[in-house]
Amino acid sequence: MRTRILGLSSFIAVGCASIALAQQPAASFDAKDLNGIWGRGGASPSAANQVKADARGFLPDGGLMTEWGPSSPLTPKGLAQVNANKSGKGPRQVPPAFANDLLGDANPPGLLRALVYGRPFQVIVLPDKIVQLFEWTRVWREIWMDGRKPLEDVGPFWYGMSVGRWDGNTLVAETTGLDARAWMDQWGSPFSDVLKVTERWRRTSKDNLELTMTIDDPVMYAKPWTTTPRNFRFQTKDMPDGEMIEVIFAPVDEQEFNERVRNPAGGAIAK
Amino acid sequence: MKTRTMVRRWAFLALVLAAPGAVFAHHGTGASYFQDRTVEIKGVVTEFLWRNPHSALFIDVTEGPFKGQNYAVELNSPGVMMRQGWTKKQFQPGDDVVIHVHPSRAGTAVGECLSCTVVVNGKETKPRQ
Repeated sequence: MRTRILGLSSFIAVGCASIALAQQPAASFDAKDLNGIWGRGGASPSAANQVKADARGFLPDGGLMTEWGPSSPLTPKGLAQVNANKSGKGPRQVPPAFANDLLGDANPPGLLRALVYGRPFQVIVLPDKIVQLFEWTRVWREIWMDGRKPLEDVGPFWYGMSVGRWDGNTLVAETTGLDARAWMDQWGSPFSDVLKVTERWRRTSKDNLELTMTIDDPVMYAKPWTTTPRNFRFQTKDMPDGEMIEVIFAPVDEQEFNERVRNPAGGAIAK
Repeated sequence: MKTRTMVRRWAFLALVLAAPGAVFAHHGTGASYFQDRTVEIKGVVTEFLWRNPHSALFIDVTEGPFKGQNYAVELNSPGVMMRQGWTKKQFQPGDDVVIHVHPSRAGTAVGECLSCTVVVNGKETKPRQ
């Protein structure tokens, strides 16, 4: 009998605790305060429902499965560029020794690839601009918030020219002038020099930042398309990515690595 | 046929979900190394390169099919390895080492260890996850 009473008491206690937790208000936050280090959060779960690509990453409608999600149908030029881009990662991967990825020779990844790679970045909000510091290759980009208009015919810049504004609690940044020698992701998804990227950054909770982009590149894609929402998680000091470290690709190191490890691993040269 | 398509879709899904995984190699390693195979390399350290974005370990192999060859092991970046509990003094030339690597698909004396257990002079070190 005593055991039964104890069991019932425990059940009620656990139940009350659960209700109390559920009734706790969400942690307060300023939706426009993006300051801090943000780390890998991954694509939203809905991305899994959209996967209908074949083994090489092509979609039934002629689009491409990118690391950013499914694209709109490729143009003939876009398809040719996909087949020309040889990446060491993703559904069309080849041994890096046989890839034509500029990153393999320590060239810059560029804006879109830095955003999708998954290493942390720090945001610093200033009166006239928002600065984004990337751990990966230790570079930064600026989103100008001083009212200027997006510039045409700029670049090419590996990290583009970005102009931003607030639309309610969403930071909208338009980027042009991206260097088309870079790729959109690690899988070799292409873009051209006419690409216009519209980023929408939204702090959805104290700990989460969501990025959705519109890719407008009529040279590579038949119509503008929207990326799958990508989440970044706020990093506190005690987290593995709570402090950014130096991750620089030095060509001198990359060249030696390629000669002594990467190329023989792929069988490109006799070791 | 339907089963094969399903397998492809699930394989692709796994690829998508695994993309932001715990280990990073900016050029990709799956196409160069058998990710489903592990081989044990025993030998003596000749060189340890603690460098971004890849470190590398070189071993004079004393046992097994690569005996007598200098074997290269692709490692992670110093930042990731530090987070796993490794240091730039992890290996010294002359150390006896046992390391389990994913071997090169080309069959060359190269392997990959982005997160593996190593034994250095009889002491085992497991990467912190």
